Amino acid sequence: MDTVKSAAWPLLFTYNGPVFGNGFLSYVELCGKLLAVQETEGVWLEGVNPGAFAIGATTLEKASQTLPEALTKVFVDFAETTDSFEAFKRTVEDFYEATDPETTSAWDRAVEAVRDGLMPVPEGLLRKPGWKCFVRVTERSLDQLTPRDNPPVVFNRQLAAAA
Amino acid sequence: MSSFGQVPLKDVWAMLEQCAPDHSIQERTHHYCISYGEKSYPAFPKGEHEKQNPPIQKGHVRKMARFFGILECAKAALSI
Repeated sequence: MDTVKSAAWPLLFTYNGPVFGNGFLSYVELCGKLLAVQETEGVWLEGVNPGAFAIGATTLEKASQTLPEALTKVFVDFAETTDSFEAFKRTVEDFYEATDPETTSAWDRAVEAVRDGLMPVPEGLLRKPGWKCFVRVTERSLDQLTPRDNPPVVFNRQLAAAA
Repeated sequence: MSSFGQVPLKDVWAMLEQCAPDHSIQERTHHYCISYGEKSYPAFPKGEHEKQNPPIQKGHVRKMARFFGILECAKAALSI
């Protein structure tokens, strides 16, 4: 069987975490889409949804570990420039939805290649058929907080291959 | 062309002047937020702190240019 060479992998990732804003506490949950391109120096992750970010790292595992911190920094920037939970929520949702046709087309082609068995799933990643991506931003009050809302120190297994 | 290669930030700003007229740049705590047309790219890296003209990885520039639909112009203006 022929395989696709030098193509991008279609990956899924999850993000869950609290973000403190100006007078509000929010909780951001999302399932996002990425294209991962292997290069000589490492792997480059390009956002599909959200579409306006990218990450480079020496390995897919390191990129996976960097991803939550990179997104948290974007959300903190949003929190600093919005003055209400509603404005923050709208900004996060707009960021999640914004993409470009070239990237979404490349993502669609890559998913088809994985489904058709033309592109191998990166080693160590699960295949994840039947995926459905989303973004959810909810407001939390102090009495809703629990110790479980603290962000984990180590993030593992953030990525899965869309199939 | 490697995404891990670098270009000076000033060259990126010059490219935007040429390829994305009427864009705007807002400096935030962690990133630059670049707006052009009706779209915003809020995750453009600021590069290493305390450098006047820090190097930026080409992958970030390419992704931003593709997002705004100015990739061909950006490639002609920069070696990305």
